[in-house]
Amino acid sequence: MDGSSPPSPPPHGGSQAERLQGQPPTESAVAGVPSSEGAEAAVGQTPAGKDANAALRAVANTARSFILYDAGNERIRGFLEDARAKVEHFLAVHGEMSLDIRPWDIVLGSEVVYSDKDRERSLAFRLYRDGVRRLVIRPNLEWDELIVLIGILSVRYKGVRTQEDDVVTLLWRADFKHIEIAAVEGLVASEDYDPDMQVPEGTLAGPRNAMQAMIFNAPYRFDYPWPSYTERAAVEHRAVPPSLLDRITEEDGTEAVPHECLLLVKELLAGLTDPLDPLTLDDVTPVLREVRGFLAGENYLDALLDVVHAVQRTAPADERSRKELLAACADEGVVRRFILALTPEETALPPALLELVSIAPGDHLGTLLDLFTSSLHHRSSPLIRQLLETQLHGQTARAAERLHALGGHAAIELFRLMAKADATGAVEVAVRLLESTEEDLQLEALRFLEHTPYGAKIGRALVGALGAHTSAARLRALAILVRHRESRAFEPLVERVRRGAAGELTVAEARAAGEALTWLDPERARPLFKEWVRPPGLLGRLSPGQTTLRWAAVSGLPLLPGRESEELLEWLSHHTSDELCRQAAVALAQLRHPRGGEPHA
Amino acid sequence: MPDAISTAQEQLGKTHERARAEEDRELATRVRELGAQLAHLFNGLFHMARTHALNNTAFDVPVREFGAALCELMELLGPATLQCVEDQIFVNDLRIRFDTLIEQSITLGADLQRHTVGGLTLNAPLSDPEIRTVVRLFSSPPTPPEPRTALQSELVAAGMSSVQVHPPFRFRITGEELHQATREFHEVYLASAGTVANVFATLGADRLPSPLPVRRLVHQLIDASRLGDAAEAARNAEEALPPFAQHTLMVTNLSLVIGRAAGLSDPSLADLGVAAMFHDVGFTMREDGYSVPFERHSRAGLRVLLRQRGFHRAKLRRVLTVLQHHYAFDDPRGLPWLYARIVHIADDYDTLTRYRSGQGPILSTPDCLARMAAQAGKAYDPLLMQLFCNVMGRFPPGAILSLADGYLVLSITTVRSPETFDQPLCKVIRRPDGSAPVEDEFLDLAQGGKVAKVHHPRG
Repeated sequence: MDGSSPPSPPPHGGSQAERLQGQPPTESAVAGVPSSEGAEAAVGQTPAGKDANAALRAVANTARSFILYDAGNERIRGFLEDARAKVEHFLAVHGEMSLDIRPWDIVLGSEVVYSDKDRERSLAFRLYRDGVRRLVIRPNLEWDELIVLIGILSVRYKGVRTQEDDVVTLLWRADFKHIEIAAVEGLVASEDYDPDMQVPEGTLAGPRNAMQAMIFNAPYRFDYPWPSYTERAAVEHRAVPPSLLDRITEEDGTEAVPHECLLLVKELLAGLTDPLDPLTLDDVTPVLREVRGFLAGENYLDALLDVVHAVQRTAPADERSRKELLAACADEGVVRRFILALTPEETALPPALLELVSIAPGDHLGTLLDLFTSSLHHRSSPLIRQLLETQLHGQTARAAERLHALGGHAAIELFRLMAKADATGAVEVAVRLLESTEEDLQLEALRFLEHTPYGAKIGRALVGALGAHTSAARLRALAILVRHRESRAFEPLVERVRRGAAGELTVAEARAAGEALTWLDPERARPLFKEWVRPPGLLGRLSPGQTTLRWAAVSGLPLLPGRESEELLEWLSHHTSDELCRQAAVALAQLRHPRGGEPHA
Repeated sequence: MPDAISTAQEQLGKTHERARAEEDRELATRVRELGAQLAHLFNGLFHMARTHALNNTAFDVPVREFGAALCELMELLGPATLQCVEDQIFVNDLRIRFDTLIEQSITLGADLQRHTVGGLTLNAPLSDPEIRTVVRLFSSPPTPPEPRTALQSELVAAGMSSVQVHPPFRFRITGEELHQATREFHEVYLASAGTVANVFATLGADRLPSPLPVRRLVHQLIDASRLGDAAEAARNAEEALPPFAQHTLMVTNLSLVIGRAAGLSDPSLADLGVAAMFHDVGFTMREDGYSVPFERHSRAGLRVLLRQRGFHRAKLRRVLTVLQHHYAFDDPRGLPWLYARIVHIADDYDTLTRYRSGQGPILSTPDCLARMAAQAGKAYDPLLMQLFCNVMGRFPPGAILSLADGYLVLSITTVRSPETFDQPLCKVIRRPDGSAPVEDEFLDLAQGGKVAKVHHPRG
């Protein structure tokens, strides 16, 4: 097809499309699903006939496949590959494919090369009924042309009907270089001479109803006033250089459509304030929506922004009109489209998109949160993350709702974005996260709070976190409280230690708690440690959490120099066993021979 | 990096998306339903008429349903045309699909064919008695030797001239005998007046624009005009046309001439032609029984065209043309759009040179062209104006010239080559001896003959 050497026939075992077709149908399969089996007969006697049949069936399957699958589906890819391979093969081996279209068959020369009497499935029926009678495909067919042909056929298979075009006008418009089509071009009288068709000299078949009579007979001066020019210029032939004609074709080209849209929008907006014959919002807003749909669909972001600017500049002054017009040309659906159109190759957010997001009405945060939470692909997009960050400021409460529903690493990522966008707002979220049952979330919140300006609210939350479900979270919260010397944490910590001593409190936690109590309030810690080391009464000595309490004490006492601490530690070293005993001895040694600072000078 | 297949998938996805954006699915579905209903009911009425008298109460319901369906279809689209071609039935250009079982029972084509009728157009709603009359006439034996003519006469006699019968049709295929082109252009041109009248009348009745029949017509004009100079055929044909149709068709032709000279592709020419066809559609709007004044006809045209829902570039182009076709090239609001600039030239040229019954044209064609050329860069795009001059020549078709040797001639061709820019083919009006030719007589100024005087209309 591109001038390269003739491709080999499709491999033994069939093409990918055929292998895909061999797979069992999905639950959504309906009648008309493309299939290599069924009513489409594998006809053709000669090698050319068989190859033509294969090519036509492949084209038919491809055109029909859009009934079930979106264009981007992997199955469509398979069908396109198959169609390309088989058409290329035919053209390379046999040359031009000249086909006559009959109601149920397609004929190559005198050989039937396609036959299908199923009117839903049959390519022949579809072509014939839509007006095509002959199809000639030349050997140097271009891939783009085959795609355009498949596009036209597939639109018709899907039953889309427009008011502008039918298959014949679409084929005419395609202006193929290497595909020749003989198609119905309208109806003509089947008789050569028909008195009814002859128009008497000087007359025309008259109006058939009152409405037509208005057009035929009314002498209204539709061309008045006449242009009035008095100057004359010489009328001469001057050749027009091709470069000037190029400007015309450029103005007419496909890339000019966005400019045409903008021209129309400007006209419509001007019409809203025309004193002579003003347009209404009902006239204008549907058109704006259509333009919006086109520009967004074709990814013309800059052009859409131009339209938005035009609306902002020239819309009527009243607020209701402005809002309605703006919504008609940009909304959250449009923003979402452009966001989805961002490619992995783009490294920076287009300024136009940032501006559009800031102008277009709608819940863009919701859109971005939807994308962020819906897939890893979107979540890992740096551009989506950047955009989300721009929207999160002042909106952390909304995002927090998603965060709790999200959970896991995704929630952590979202929280980090929130923290970056709005640190103040993120504090509230972090406080709430401390109540989460997920350790990672709690730790993330604690990490954030650790670096946040400390205040009463955070203090309260951290104190609450002393009762977190996991040890790691409790330890982290405690460390922060200690760093900030949060004296209000003393009592809750004591309570926590007492309650946890008999069960969940680990030795590490007990030791951390002991040190913390000393740092938080050494005066109150001293008698507490004494009580825990040598509780009064037999019951106290025999309580199940005694060991844990002693661990707390043995960690805090070295930070409280003085005779009493030494005596307590000495008693512990003689009256306990194992690790606690050894730790008490170490602590005693530290007290007697200090190296570091003390809680109190 | 996407490969060719991925790119193709993307392209096909866009094709479908654009097609969906253009589609007014609701309208298409409703029209198809109504069309099928009409065809099916019509067929059923003919079948019943074979065995039942038309005053039988069995006809009451289907007749009423037919009348209602017809009414609703006309509300949407205007006159309803039903055509049977080969084994297919079309209602207003929509091919009607029937279930397989039902299709086998449809004999509508054969019933019409008995009277050498291929289809009919219903231009006005029909009452119950009128519907029964139509059924009766079609069910009666055909009247030789010209059954269709007899049938039409009977319809008119019954007060139903709004029912128009058509001869049998066949599909015209691309590439058919090209030698018929000149005659075909003439026929196409005349037939197009009916299309223009139908389309504009439909729009004037607050119905929806239907560009498809206009587009097909423009395709035919483009194809037919490719084969030779259409100027004479157009000039000859337009005398048979009412002024509004004359003007619309001539502006379309002239716009296509300029567009072709500018190198526009055929699809673009088609869009240009359709836009030109609709350029004065605003005049179909009525206020207190009168068409809107000139000052508001562009805006009125916009409103008419915007009734068509769905985004399509052709619609966008039409609307811009309707809005801007009177804007000057140097309009302070900005450069008018390309098709509007083309139609502006064509529109003004025809307005100034069209023959007006009882008074002739405002300006002769050479004088008009000279005055318009002086406005290049001001009222008109200078490049397009030059292209127009290059095509029309110093003595455009319609110019009445006195030659040095005494002949009085009428210019009938546009420029055939740069070398014969001011030497058109002419038809003799009067010989030097004062006599008028009995048959058409031509003089080719390229072979000899010098223009001594250009005649201008009085006043």
